[in-house]
Amino acid sequence: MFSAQVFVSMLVVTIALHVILGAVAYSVMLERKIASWVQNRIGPNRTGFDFGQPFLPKFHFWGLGQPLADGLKLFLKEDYTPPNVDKVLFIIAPMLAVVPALIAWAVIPWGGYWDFPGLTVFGTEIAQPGMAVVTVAPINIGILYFLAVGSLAVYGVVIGGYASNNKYSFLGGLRATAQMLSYEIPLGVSILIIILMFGTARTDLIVLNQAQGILGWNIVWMPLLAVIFFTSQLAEANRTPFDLAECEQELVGGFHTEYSSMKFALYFLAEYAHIVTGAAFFTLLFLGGWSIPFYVGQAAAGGLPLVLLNVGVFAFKMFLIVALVMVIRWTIPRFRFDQLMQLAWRCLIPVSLILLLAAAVLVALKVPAIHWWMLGVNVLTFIGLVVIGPKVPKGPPVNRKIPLEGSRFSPLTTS
Amino acid sequence: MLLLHVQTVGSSEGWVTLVLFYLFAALSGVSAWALVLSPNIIRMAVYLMLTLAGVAGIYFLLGAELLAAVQLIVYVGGVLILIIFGVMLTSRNPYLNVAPRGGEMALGLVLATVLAVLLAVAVLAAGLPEAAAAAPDDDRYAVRWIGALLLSRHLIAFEVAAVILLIVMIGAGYLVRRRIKANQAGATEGRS
Amino acid sequence: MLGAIPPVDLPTWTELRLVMPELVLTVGMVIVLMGAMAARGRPGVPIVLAMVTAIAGMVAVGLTMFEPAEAGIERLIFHQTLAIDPFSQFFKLLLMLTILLVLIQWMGLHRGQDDLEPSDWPDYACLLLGAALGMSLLASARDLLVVLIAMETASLPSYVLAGIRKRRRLGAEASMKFVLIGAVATGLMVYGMSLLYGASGSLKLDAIVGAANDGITPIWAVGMIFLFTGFAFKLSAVPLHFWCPDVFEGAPFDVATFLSVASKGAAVVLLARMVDLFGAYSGSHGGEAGMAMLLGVGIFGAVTATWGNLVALRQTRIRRMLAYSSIAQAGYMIMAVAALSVAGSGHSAEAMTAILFYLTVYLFMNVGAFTLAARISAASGSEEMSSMAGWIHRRPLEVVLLGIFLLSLFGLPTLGGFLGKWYLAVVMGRLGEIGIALVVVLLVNTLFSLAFYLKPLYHMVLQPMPQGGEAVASAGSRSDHSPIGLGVAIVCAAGVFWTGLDLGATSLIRPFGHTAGRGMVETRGDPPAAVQQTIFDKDAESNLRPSSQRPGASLSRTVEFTGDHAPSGSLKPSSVINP
Repeated sequence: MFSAQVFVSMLVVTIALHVILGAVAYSVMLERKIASWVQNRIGPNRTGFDFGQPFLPKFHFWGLGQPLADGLKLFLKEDYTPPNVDKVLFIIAPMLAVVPALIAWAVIPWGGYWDFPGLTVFGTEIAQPGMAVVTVAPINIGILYFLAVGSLAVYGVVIGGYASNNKYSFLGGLRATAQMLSYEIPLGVSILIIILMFGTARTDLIVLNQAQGILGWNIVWMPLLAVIFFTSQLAEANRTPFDLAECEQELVGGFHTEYSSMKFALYFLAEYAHIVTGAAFFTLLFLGGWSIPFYVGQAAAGGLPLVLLNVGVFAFKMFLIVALVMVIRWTIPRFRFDQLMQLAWRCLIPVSLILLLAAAVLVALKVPAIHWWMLGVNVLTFIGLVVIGPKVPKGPPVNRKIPLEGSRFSPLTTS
Repeated sequence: MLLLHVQTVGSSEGWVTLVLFYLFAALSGVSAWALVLSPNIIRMAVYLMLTLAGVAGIYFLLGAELLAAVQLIVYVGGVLILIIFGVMLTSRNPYLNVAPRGGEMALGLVLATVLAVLLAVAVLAAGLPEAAAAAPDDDRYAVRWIGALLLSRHLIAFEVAAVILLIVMIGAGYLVRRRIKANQAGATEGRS
Repeated sequence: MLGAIPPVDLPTWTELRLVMPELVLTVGMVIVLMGAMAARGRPGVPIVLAMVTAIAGMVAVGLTMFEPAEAGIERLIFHQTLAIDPFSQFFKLLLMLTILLVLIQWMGLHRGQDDLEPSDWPDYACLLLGAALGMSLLASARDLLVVLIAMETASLPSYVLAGIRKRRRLGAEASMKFVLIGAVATGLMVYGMSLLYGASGSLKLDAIVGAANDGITPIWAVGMIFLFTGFAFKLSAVPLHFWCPDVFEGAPFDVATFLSVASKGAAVVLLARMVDLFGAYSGSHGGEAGMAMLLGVGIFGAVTATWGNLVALRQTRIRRMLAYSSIAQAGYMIMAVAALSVAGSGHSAEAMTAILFYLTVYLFMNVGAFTLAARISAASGSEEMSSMAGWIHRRPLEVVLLGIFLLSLFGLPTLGGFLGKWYLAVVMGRLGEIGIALVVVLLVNTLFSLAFYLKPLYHMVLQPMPQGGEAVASAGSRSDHSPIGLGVAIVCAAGVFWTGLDLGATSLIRPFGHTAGRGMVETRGDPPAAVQQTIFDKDAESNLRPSSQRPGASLSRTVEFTGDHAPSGSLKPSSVINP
């Protein structure tokens, strides 16, 4: 006999794993579609589910078979391991990339609280009735778990880059390390602010605190913080405009240059899983999780229909975020590396620290209507940024031209 | 993902805990051995990462979730990755193999054996009190309580840790600045 | 829904007043940084600010020093994690004085030299103040967590200070060795702390000492050994003394002075506090742990002193010789600390006084000796003692002063070192057979040390000046003529004579040792409701009663919990921590 929570958790593990892996496959499809819409093309629309077999019905399904065909292709490719690589690490690295992206889902509260009626099959009680959170692990540290697991994500990239024994891969790994270390700080600080405001780190309670229509959502009261979190999340997931670890103009394929077949597919999977995870956490931290916009009297707990509705709302918000991430990829150009570092260290980190300080003071003073205060702080900080930002002394010119002898910048030795 | 269940499961699924414990213990132990025996520094770092992650898993099993998270965030995600970064950035040849010589190996073995025997005797003879089973909502392990402890009972240690960070930052800044100046000096010498 | 957040009690004003010296140091660090930013182009400003901080620190110590002395109690503040008593406050006074002297010495040595660029001076001052903050906390620590944090605060800046000289391989080597050995020692210490916490269920030093109540368990013993390994690193006691000569050689003279005086002093004070708790414990429980501690610490000190002296004899460079000499001096102090571990001897206050006295003398002797060694070796262009032959003719004043310090380190009567050693010997002598053995070790070591303390004097006074020595001397660097360093040396010489002739020195120092915090044994149980503070006044007991009837009820001294929250049951973190 499982308690209600354990049974629900096992149910969520089983369903969520499959649904999300499917969603990851289709987000590749979504990416290609959005890319083509942005570029005024049509995109993949031919591949159906017939796989070229004449006995299957010929219908294109708007190209929905494409992810399956892609996956099949990756399976069938030659799995080539170049000579002189560090074989053990070369094989471990893609796994190290995928695992953190997948296990971070454990703390996401998908559908609120389920008043679980119990389950009895043929007179044997399998699960007891009771109240359960629709999540895998309703643990105390909640959102900190996300940080902990997220900090593991960099290993896959670094180790992959190192093990390939390839200069470009190596550089990609180095870039990824510096980038992820830098952007983990504003990410962590913005999560800290949320923890401070709500006095809890449990994900379900964070959502429950926001579930008062759209006016309860954090993005309304802390828009600047939401932007910081979203930006850092993009960088953590190695997405454009922060995809310097794999930028093809400079580094061929970056850390995954030497990978092929399923090892490459794992990296691919990890990247999209990161996007989906990031979207889920953005939803839960800033978009009120399962709460329905403009509907205040939403019940916190209920039966299966309510839970399904909640999951649907959550998934829809996630879908919007994922789509936004993809639109950004096809509209905003990539940063240069020093710009990337400056954005983190000279903008995001100081600003998030200012917000943290303000939140701490407000919480310590126990001010009434703290949300309004926080909104004021966010707006003021943003105005301050706009006003003070251009006046901050610039750092040394990083990208200066060095008059090397014989180069075209050195007029002395031109012959 | 199952590991997260364990502390919510309670005693009826005790075998899950047991299996997971041996799994994590084996992960930590085996990768610790691999860490010591490996000649390649990046591989060592990876094995160390596995060891630390295994220990974090054991913390999870014990219900000390915050400790596990901190272990992952600070050691695995911070310190270790910085070590790898440092090695990859500064080492002239990160693929170098560093194998200990025979004498060093023997000395290390002797020291390690002595230490292991000492600790084994100490721990086995200790008769530590059996830990009470951690209830999932036990206040003892709540983040909030640890925060309150840090700000009341261990206030001095907590505040001084902040000063340490300041000092270390000053020290690191000094050392790094020195490096840049030395480089510039070297560059000018080279040019002239 | 969220439940009540447990109360967080803010520190009281009394507590803040009692940690004023530490606050002054912290604020001073920030002011030095800010001042350096505000006064760009005037690099002397941060150094002056640091000196002002040291003086302000002295004033702060002075304000807090006599407060506990009046009531004759030790104050446990911040939930009993810090102990403020005259013993620790006196050390803090010495510490501030050391910073001041080191900074003055630094001005004499470094102005005009290219070791540090002016833009690096604020960093230097900050690191110095930061290390001092750690040492001052170390002297008051009464909780394993504070011990660890304070040890790190003292160590981390020291690592940088050891390698502060630019473009020198020796400096980098010193820093590297220091870091590696320090990391190993700290690692072992943390491991020991975890074992001790497991064995006793508490982080409080007194509870840990009290955990040996039911006999010493192996886990406790191993934990204690590891903990003392960490102390040994700071003391540069024998198993972990390797770093000392290398660091002293690679670091500039002023950093070596600072490390040899302040760092070792803080560790001695911490060791004394720890061993003193054992003394209190052994007074009531038959003394198994106390005896073990007496033997352990005694042997520890004896070996350190002997080894330091033996190796010092073989040194040819004056700085390495002084480094090994400082190891030996630390050994003497450790031997005296052993006396604290047996309450029955009934003179823990005297032992405390003796240690404080020796620390005071040691401060003067060592700062003076290092200052003069720096000047002479800078002038002669080499640290080899043989290259200083005949220097009595060139710099008579400096050589005479150096002779005074070296002879004081040896322990010539009328100089401070003699009286210090005499007090140490008196304290050790009362310990029974073990004590007599320790005195013999001290005596033999002292006689033996004469050989190497006279060696530089032999070269400087009796050897003829080599041909061409004039040229070498004039080629010395500019700094060796500055009057500042000489001023420091003269002040130190005055200190050595003051303590040696006992012009009120003993009577000045005695109150701090006598009213120092002695034992407090916290019984294990279910704190905080059942915390029973049992205090033994060892002196009163041993003098007034036969040792067989020594119940724990003679509460001649009370422990005051400053602040109104310490023993109350509102927040129960201790019941959380102690299952």
